[in-house]
Order: sequence, then C-alpha cells, then structure tokens
Amino acid sequence: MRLNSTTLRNRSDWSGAVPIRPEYGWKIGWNGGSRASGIQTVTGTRTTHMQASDHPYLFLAVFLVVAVIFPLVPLGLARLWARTFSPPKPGPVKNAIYECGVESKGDAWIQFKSEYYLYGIIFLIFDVEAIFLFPFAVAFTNLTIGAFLAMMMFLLLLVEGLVWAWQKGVLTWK
Amino acid sequence: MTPLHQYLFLSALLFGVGLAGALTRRNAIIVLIGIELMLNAANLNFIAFWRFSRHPELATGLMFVLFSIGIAAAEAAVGLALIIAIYRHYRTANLDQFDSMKG
Amino acid sequence: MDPVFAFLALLTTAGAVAAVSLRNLVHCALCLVVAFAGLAALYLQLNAQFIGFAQILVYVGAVAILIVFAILLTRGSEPGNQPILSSSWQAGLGVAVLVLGALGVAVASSFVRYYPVSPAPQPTVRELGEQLMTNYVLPLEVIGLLLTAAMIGAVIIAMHEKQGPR
Repeated sequence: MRLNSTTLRNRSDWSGAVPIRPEYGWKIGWNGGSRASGIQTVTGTRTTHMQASDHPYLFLAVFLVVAVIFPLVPLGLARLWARTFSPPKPGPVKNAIYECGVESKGDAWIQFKSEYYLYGIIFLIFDVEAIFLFPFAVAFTNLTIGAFLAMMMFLLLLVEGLVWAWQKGVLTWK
Repeated sequence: MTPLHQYLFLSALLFGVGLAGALTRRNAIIVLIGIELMLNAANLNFIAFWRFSRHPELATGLMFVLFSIGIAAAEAAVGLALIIAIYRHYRTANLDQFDSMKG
Repeated sequence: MDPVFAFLALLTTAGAVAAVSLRNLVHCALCLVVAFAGLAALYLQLNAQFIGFAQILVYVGAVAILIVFAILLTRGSEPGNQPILSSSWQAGLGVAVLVLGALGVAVASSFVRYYPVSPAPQPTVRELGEQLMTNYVLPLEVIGLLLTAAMIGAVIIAMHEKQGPR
C-alpha cells in the first residue's frame, strides 16, 4: 500500500498521526510569537518523532534514568565482585586510619571557612536577580523607557549591595 | 490530566511534613528546611490554582510564585546566617539550648 | 490517577519526609534537593515552565547549596548519639497532624473536587516579562530592596567577629 502525503493528511484516524496535544507543546517562548493554538497534526516524515514531541520532557526523563543507572551498575558489579572474590575479614590493624607517616588524629571533617558562606549569600541573591532579568530581557523589545528605568533601578539596588560587600572586603580571599 | 484537588492534597501533605519537621526537630537547620518545604507547598498551590483558573493569561499565580521564590531566598540567607552566628556563640545548633531569652 | 503525577508526588513526598526525618544532616539536605526537583517537575507538568526552571535555578542551585554550607559550618563537636527530636516533639507532632487533617478535610469537602479541567494555558516568558514590567513594577522594586537588605544583613550577621567593620 502506497501512502502519499495527501492521504496521510486526510486520514486523521491513521494510528500514527495523533494530534500533538497543545498542553504539552514546547513553550519556552523565547521568540514570543509562537502562540499557535488548536490541533496540530503530525504528517509525513515527522511521524517517527511523534513520541518525543508528544512529551517534551521524555528526553529529560530518559537522561535521568540513564544517569541513575550508569553509576549504579558498575557499583553493583564491583560490590558483587568483592563479595564473591574477597570476603571481608576486618581486623584492628586493617581498619586503622593510616595513610603514610604518622597516624592521623581526629575526624576528616575540619571546620569549614565561613567565607564560603558569604560567597554563597551573594551568589543566591544574584541568582534570584537572574530569574527577574530573564523575563525582562525576553520582553525587552516591547517595553517602554519607563520599564527600562525601573529595571535599572532594580539592578542599581542590587549592585549597591555588591559594592558594599566589596568595600567590606567580603570578596577578598584570606 | 490530573484534577486540581490531587495537587491540593499533595500540597497539604508537603505542608504537614514541613510543619512536623519544623516543630519536632532539635536542629535549627532542619527547622529551616521544614519552613522551606511549607513555602514550597504554598507555591505548588499557587501554580495549581493558576493552571485551573478561568483567566490564566493574567499570570497572577506565576507572578506571585516568582516573588515568593525571591522572598524565600532572602529568608533562607538571613535565617542560615542567624544560625551560623548563634552557632559561633553557643557552639551548638540545637534549639533547646538557645535559652538565654527564657524568663 | 496520572502515572507521571503519581510518580512525581511520591518522589516529592518521600524526599520531603526524608529531609525532615534523617539523622545525618547532609543526607537531609540531599533529600531536600530531591523534593525540590520533584516540585520543579510538577511545575513543568502544570505548564509553568519558567517557574519550574526558576525553581531548579534558585532552590536546587542556590538554596540547597547554602543549606549544605550552613550544615558544614555548624557541625561541631557534637556526640553522635544525641536525640534528634526536641523535648516537646509530641505536642509539635500533634499540631502538625491536626493541621494536616484540617487541610485534608478542607480540600476534600470543598468545591475544587468538581472543578473542571480547563485547557492548558500557554504562558510565554515574554508575557511574563510584560506583566512584570507593567503591573508588577512596584513589587519588583520592593523585591530589589528586600534582596539588598537581606544580602547586607546576612553578610553582617555571618561575618566573623575578627573581620568585623573596619
């Protein structure tokens, strides 16, 4: 049976050509104007990609599953190998904390420098600033000069905080 | 599509878990984690109500969650800084040992 | 029930329960990351893509990191076998169960159970930006002020006494 593209388009009950549900459409909308609603039917050569375009996050899920399996399988195999070929025989000498030289004392968890936390605060604040800058940047061409000034005001406030922290010497590593 | 009330049940469950964590644990950081979970449960409610609202094009729920994320970030930064400062003073992060304001 | 929703709800709830109940604080923070990521996936499922990615950026990327930093800064000379629950945990758990019951009953008995499933909205980031810069300019400026105040305040509080004001 030979199907040309016209028959594909006409036979909407054809099992492969399910309509893309608009609710799952990839709508990040960087270019804004793509608000085509309604039913879009997959025809012709794109039918092979139908599953993926039906669920735009299917790829993410697949990557996630692979990312979980990828380290777990070698770890499990190594565990299995160790259990079959080198059964555990713990002893006081074998469990001693010893690398080389003198024996180490105390825990491996040393006190953490609090400078890291100050950097973390500044990073967090500017991370939040970024999520407000993204919509502004995407809508930039439609905005008025007042909106631009308002955003510059917002940025000025945050930069003021950064300059203050810089002057306090928070950004210099000691 | 999942109906609205299932999202609301999930959000209530998250809120309950966060509240239980904030009220029962001794460590101040876990209390803060519980508070973050409660905030996130509220955000889930906003998004769910926005998704099922009659005028989603107004994007009220989305904007509210955007601002709520900003406020939660500020709250986390200040809260954790307070915990670190108190830890320096008392050498502990356990809440029942911060009793200097007890009458 | 939608299997995707069921899986995400299970993941989020399990992460949240583990985040407030485990003994090791670093494990708690990692389970919190799982709960946040599950919530972000739920936002994506609800067609709020931008909020979902903002959730990953802010909560998974920054707040969780800050919590891990705070945990590393405050893990001191504590003996490992102390109780993890506060002295008044029974009352706290009772209050939490009561609140959860009240919320559950409220949702179960309200009209939202029969709420129709509307066609999915298609928000674009451009529309969000236009809303942000027209109707929500004042909240934006207030958030800017709040973030600046929070940054300065948190840095002052967390700065070591030795390196204090100069």
